[in-house]
Amino acid sequence: MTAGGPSDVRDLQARENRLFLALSILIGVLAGLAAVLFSLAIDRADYLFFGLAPSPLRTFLVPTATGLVAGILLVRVFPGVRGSGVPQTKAAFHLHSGDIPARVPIGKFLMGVLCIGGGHSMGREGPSVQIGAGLASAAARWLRLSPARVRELVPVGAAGALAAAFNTPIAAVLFALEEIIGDMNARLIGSTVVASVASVVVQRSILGDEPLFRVPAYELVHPAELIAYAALGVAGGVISLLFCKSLLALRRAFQRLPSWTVAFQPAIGGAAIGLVLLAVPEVKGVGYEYIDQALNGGLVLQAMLLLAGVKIAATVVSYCSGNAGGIFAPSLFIGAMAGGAIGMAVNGLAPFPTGEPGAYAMVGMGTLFAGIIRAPMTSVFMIFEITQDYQIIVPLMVANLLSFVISQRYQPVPIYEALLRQDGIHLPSASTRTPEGWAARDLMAGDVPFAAPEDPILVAHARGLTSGRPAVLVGTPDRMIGIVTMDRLAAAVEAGRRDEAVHALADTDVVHVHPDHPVDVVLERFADCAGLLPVVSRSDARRVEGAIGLDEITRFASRRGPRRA
Amino acid sequence: MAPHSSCPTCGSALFAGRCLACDTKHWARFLHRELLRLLVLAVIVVAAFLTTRAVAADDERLRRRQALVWFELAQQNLDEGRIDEALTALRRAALKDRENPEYRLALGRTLAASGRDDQARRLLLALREERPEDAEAALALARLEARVGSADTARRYYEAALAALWRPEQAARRRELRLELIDLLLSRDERARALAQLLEVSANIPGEPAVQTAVGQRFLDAGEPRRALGHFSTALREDARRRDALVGAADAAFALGNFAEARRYVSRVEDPDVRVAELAETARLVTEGDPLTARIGAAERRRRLDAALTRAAARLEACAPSQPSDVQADLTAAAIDATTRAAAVRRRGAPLDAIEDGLDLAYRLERRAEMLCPSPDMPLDRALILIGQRRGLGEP
Repeated sequence: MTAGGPSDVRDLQARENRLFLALSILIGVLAGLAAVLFSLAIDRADYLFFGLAPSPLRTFLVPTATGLVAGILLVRVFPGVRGSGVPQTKAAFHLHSGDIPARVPIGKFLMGVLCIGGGHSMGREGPSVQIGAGLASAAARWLRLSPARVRELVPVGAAGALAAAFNTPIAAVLFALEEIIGDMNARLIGSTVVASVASVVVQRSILGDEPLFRVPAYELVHPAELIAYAALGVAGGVISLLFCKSLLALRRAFQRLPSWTVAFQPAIGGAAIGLVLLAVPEVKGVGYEYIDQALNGGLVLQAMLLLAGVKIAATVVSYCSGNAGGIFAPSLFIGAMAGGAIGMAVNGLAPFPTGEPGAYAMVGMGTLFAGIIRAPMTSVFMIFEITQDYQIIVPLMVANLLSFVISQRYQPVPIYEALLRQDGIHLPSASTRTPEGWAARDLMAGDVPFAAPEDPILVAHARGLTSGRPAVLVGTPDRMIGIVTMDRLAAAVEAGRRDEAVHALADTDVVHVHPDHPVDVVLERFADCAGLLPVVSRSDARRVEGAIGLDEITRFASRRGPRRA
Repeated sequence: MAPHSSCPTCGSALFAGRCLACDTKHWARFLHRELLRLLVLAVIVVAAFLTTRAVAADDERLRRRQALVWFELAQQNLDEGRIDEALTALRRAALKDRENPEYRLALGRTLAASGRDDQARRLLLALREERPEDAEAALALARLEARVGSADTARRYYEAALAALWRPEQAARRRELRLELIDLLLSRDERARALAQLLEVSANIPGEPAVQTAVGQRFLDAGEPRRALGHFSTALREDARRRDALVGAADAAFALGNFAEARRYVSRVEDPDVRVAELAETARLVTEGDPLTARIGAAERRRRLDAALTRAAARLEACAPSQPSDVQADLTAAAIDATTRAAAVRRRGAPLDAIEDGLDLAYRLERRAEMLCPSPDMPLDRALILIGQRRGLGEP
């Protein structure tokens, strides 16, 4: 057998498979330990910063000061660790072959402790996911695994971290499949299960096996209660929309601020949070203490309504100002408060026997999680695992489904992907993902006519004529800002506007495709484009990799057959 | 598996960026490097585990200290009557130290005390489910249910608390718990159950005056004056001046019809209050007013009977005006009869059986007056009725 022959390749693959399994276990343990350590560090930071009963001055100053420090560090030292960490993990998996620099998990750990421990209304689970995924990526690259294996270990690390963060092994696996990979049938299910189990075993050996929340054994008291839970689902969907729309709107507003403010935006958010905490200290940090009270019927109606509303505002401000932290725990908090409030109302008004408000708080948690995070399977199992109450699962599923449907109807793009799109990153969706078959990259041509934004219209017109294309892209290959048709250029030249800058004519809303888009998507979008369909990178939607015109489509139609591997 | 480019070393095709020929040529080195790194990673994981465990242990200690601070703050708030602040502090304590059931128990008790019965019940039931052998949660539930009027449920929880695990040094506390249950049963007139519990508790109690008195009082309330007197006597042997034991013993002796003994007990009470004074007076009147008492002279016997009949007649005369006319006439006739009989008694030579008949008359008249005109009744009236009951005299 010659070196490099088929049996050597098989041996190499078998060796990698064994290494991968062992690594999945180690990664699961390491990610779980990181998540535990992260949680402990946040609690310790909270105690150091605030003590047991902080004064008003301290309550205001701590989030402001930590925001200031965080802002500087996020710009100068750890630029990739703002926000939740889940969107970044997804981007790394889908677009960067799982490559997460080692600085990222370290930075996320430190910044998360600073921001969440400093009082910001954010969760620690999302950052844990990025920390776990980052550790997995770093370990895999250090072990010189193939890029495909490095990529595959990212959701394994994410699952391990989330399993330990919430003490929810099943939900962690589902989250990795449903949200990170986006495919419930992924062949990585075995590795994520192994990592999740290893993580939880280690976490429970250190922290014990207590559920996250101690709740009574709630159950469906009367079949007619399903109507009430359905109403909760509808309300949850509306509240989810309110949260998501607010988050995206305020984030867009912060992004429009001058670039020199980026380092100070976390401090602005910190000062706002400081003021909020003076009035409503309950929204500080993660807020598990108050979720526990809501689940056990320990809050009155007015308090729950107030906390739900203020938590939405506080989380939106904390997140959008650029602090490092997630939205899992705030979703649960808002859901518990809203659910509990609805439960109290139902208790008072319903003509049939109803359960305790705490039961509605529990279902409310899952409802908001399903509506905001848009992971319905994960939300059902997560609520079951963190409360260990199976009796309430039917109402939970009903409410989750309604919330999910409403949220999806009026916010078609899930929150994590919407946040990435705001950063110019477009993730492949399940419907556009295709491992085999013809894709846009197989059709596109590299010769794309460009005109700089300041170029005169006459010059742009000439370029278009030279290329023979029906349209010209405005900008550069690395930064496209718009498209202008040849008809429009010709009309402008005729009208005597030849010396005007071409960007005045450019249409900035450019119909485009990505390299991995299947041909049916290409054809569908070609019908809506200006005769020239740019093919842009997913990791930067303004970077042009090629273009598809009628010629390319005609060539494709003439040679179409099974795509060669 | 299509090659993508060539290896710069040997010119072989690369697979996924790696040259299989070079790799396989140096299998040993490659294998060792990968395994070595995996081992290093495993060591890192072990070190991370040990570090995390140490940090978690330190965090646990800090949490317990914090929980204690919150608990002490809660106690302070409770002492100062700030219930809501106390509840907040107790919730924080319970959250900080989940392992310690005392905080949750205190929270449950405080919730119950503040009227948040549903929350208290849920929490205490959960605690009881976790620790069925612990009496405190059952006791807290018993008190809660007793307060809200669910006496049967309260009784079951009391019994569950009594059946839980108790250490020998907790005998006094357990006894107090049983006495609480007895009080509950007596309040619901469940005398048989109360008596069963009393027999249980009295079988093994120390001679301490306080304990003996407490048990004696409950026996008295349960209608067992003889047993009660036994316990009071035991208490008084240790502390002859113990007020509640003396009063209890007097009550017990009174209930047994032993008025002379009752009189001896109350005479030893220092600073008697109104009730004790009345008791003493009644005991004196009974002992000094009974014409059938042994070893008294005939004159004294007649004097006593005279006094009894005269008093009965006076009571009837006082009662008559408030009655309908037909009853009035009857009462007046009875009063005249009693007066006549009294006059006859004053004459010398009335036989003993006449004394008994006279007393019987006086008793019946007093009973009739008591039924028609319950108040006011003078100590002598009460004494005459007691004398009649003691002597087993007839009803009207």
